[in-house]
Amino acid sequence: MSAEKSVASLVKIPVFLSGDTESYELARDDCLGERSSSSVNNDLNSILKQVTKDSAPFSSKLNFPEEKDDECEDMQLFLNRRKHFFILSSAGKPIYSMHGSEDIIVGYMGLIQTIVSYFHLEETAEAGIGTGDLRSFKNGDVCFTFENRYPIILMGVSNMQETDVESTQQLDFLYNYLVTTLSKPHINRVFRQRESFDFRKLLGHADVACLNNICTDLANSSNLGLIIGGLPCLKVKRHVRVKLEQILLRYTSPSVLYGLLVGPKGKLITVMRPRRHTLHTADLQLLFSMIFNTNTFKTSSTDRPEFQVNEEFWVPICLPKFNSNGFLYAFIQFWQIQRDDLLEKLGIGSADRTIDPDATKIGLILLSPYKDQFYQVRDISKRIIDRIMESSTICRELYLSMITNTPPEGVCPLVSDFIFKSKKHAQYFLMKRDDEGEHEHMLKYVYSRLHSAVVTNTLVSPQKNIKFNGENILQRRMITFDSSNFIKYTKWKVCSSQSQKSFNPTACIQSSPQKSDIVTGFVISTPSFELYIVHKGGDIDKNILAQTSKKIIKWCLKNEGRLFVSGGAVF
Amino acid sequence: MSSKKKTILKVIILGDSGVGKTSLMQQFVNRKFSQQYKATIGADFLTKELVIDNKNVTIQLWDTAGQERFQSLGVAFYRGADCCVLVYDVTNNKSYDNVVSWKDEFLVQANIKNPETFPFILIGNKIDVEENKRQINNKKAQQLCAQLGNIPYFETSAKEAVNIDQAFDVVARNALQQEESLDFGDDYTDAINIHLDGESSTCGC
Repeated sequence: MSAEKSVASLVKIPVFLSGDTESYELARDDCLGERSSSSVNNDLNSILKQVTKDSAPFSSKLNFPEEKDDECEDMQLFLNRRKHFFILSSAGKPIYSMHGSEDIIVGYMGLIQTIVSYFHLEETAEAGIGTGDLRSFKNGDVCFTFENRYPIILMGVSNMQETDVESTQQLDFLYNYLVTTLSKPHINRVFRQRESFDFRKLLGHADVACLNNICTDLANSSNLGLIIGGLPCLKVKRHVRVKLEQILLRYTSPSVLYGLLVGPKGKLITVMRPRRHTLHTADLQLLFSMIFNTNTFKTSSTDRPEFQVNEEFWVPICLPKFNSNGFLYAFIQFWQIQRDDLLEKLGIGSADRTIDPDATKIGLILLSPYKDQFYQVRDISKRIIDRIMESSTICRELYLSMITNTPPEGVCPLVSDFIFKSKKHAQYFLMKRDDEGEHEHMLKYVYSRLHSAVVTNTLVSPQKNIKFNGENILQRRMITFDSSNFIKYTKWKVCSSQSQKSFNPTACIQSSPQKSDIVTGFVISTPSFELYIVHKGGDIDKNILAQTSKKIIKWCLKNEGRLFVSGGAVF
Repeated sequence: MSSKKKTILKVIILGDSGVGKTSLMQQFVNRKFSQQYKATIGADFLTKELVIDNKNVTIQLWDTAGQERFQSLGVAFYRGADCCVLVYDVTNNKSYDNVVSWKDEFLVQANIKNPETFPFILIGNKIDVEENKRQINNKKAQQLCAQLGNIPYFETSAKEAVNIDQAFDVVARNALQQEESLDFGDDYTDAINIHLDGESSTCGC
C-alpha cells in the first residue's frame, strides 16, 4: 500500500492503481487456431486457465499526467520528471535536453560525459579493447541508459519501468534523428575540426521542435509505431491498392528512387520502390517524424497548424539505415480529399466540417537521389496526383477509409481498442472505437507495457518450438508457435480523475471500488503476428477475451491485403 | 534555440592537489570560501554566466582532482576544452615546479591541434599568506609565463576574494576567442550525394 501511496503523492493526482498481473505462457501442446472450433476454444481456454502469478509484476503507475518538454528553471520540477533525454557532445557540451533550463543542464552534461568516459576507459583498460561502454544502471525505480556514439553521447532517464532494450532503442532513434538532419560524415567532420564545437549551432528551430516532439512521444508512449516497431497502415480495399500501384508504376523514372503514398498521421497507403531495395522501417519512422511531428510542412496562419496543400517541399534527408553518408532529396506534397466538388462527384454529400482537416489529406513523398531534379520530380508528382484524383473508385475508398475506422460487425463487440501487427510487413493496424481523450496516453502506455512483456519474454525464454497446422483460417497460413509464442494478460485498476472532485491522493485511495475502472491489457505474440488488445470499461471475462482475440486474428489474417501494404509498386 | 542560446565555454582547471582549485571556483561562482579541505573526488562541475562584450556566455568549469589516483579521467575529461587554467600555490615550490608538466599533460591528453595558440592562464593562489611563507615571487612566476608562451598571469586569494573576477574575466575572454576562432559556415546539405552506382552497400534490409 505504501508504495502506491507514494506514487500517487509524487505525481500529485488522485490515482490509485493495483497491479493485478497475471501471465500466461503457451504450454508445449497449446496452440491457437481453429482445428475444430470447439477444440481450439478448449485449447485457448485451457491456456487462459493456466494462470501463473507473474513474478515481476507490471508497473502500477498507470495514471500519470502527460509529460511535455520544457526549459523550466525550477530544479525540483526538473528532478521530479519521470523521463529525461540528454544529448551532448563527447566534450560534454550540451546539444539537447528534454527538460530544464540551460543553467540546470550544463553541469549535468559534464557529469554525464565524465561517467560515460570513465567507464569507457576502465573497460578499455581491462579488456584491452574499447567495447565495454556503460550501457545502463538502476537507482531504485529509476533507470539510466547510455549510448556512446562518439562524438555524440546520449543518456535517457526513466522511471516508467521500461527495459534497457526499450530505452536503448529510444536513444538510438534520437541519435538517428541527428544523422537524418545532418548525415554522419558532417557530424564527424565538425567535431574532427574541433572537439569543443557547439553542435547546437547546426540545429535549426525545426530540428529542436522535432526533437521535443519525439521526446514527448517517447515519454508518453504516444507514438505506437515506435513502441511496437512498425508503420501504421490505412485500411484500403485490395483492388484499390492495386490500382494505386498501377498508377505509380506508370511514372517510374531514374529521378525517383522511392515513392510513398501516406494518409493522415503517416498511415501507409502504398509504396513505390526498385526491386533491389526496400526502405528500412526505422528510416521511414524518421522520415515520418520529420514530416508529421513538426510544423515545418504546415500553415502557420491559423491557431491550429495544418498541412499545407498546393505547397511543394524539397528537403534533404539522410536515411541512416539506407546510407548514413549522404542525402536523399524528398519531394513532399499534401492534398485534400474532402473537397465539396469532389465529394459531390463521388455522391458522398457535402464535406463534414467537424473533421480535422488533416484527417482527410493524402501525402505523396518522392525520394530522389539527385539534388538538382526538383522540376522532374515535381512533374512526376503532379501526374500521379492527377491520376489518383481522376479515379472516383480510388478517391471514394480513400475518403471512406480515412473517416471511418470501426471494426466490422461482430468481430470485437466488447473491446475498445486493438492493434494487429504483421511481423512480415513490419506494419500494424490500429482499430479504435472512440477517442479516449485524457485516457489516450494511458491506453498507449498499456500497449507499451504489453510490448515490453513480449520483448522481454522473447529474450529470456527461447526453448519452445511447436508447430501447429490448423484448419479454416489456418489452412493456407500455418501458424507456427515457437520461442516467441507468448500470451500476457494484465489488469490495472485505475481511479478516474473525473470521479474525484478533490485532488487529494489519499482521498482516492480510500475511495470505493465502484469509482475505479479496470483496464485490461492482453497480448498474443507468434512468429508472424502480434495482437494487442486494450479494454477499458469494467472487468472483462477471460473467456470472452479469448474468443474475441480469436475472432480478431481470424478477421485480420483474412483481410491482410486490406490492412497491409505488401510489396507495393515494384519496378 | 541556437540563436538565443548562450555560448558555452568549457574551462578546465588543473594543478597539484591542495593548491585551491575548488576554492577558486567556489569563490568565483558562489562567493564562498571554506577553510576545510576536502579533496575533490574525480571531478566536479560548476557553471557561471558572464557577459563578455555584450555577449552572454556560460562558463562550464571542470574542476579536476589534483590527486594522482584520480588521473585516469584524463583524455575524456580534457577533450574539447576552450581554455585551461593552471593553478599553483605561491607557498608551495613543488606545485610551481609541476605547472609545466600539468600543461604538457593537458596538451597530450586533450589532443590540441594548435598548442601555440591554445589559451592557458596561470594562477598563483594563496597570496593572503604572510610574506615570509611565500616561496614563489611574482618575478619568478612571470618568468614561467614567458616560458609557457607569454600566457596571462594572476595572483589570487580564494580566501579573501582577491583578483578572482579579474582572472576569470580573462579566462572567459580568451576561451570565447578560442571558441569563435573556428566558425565555419559550410553548406552541409551539399555533403556527399548518394551515387547509385555503388548500390550494393546501400540497402539496409
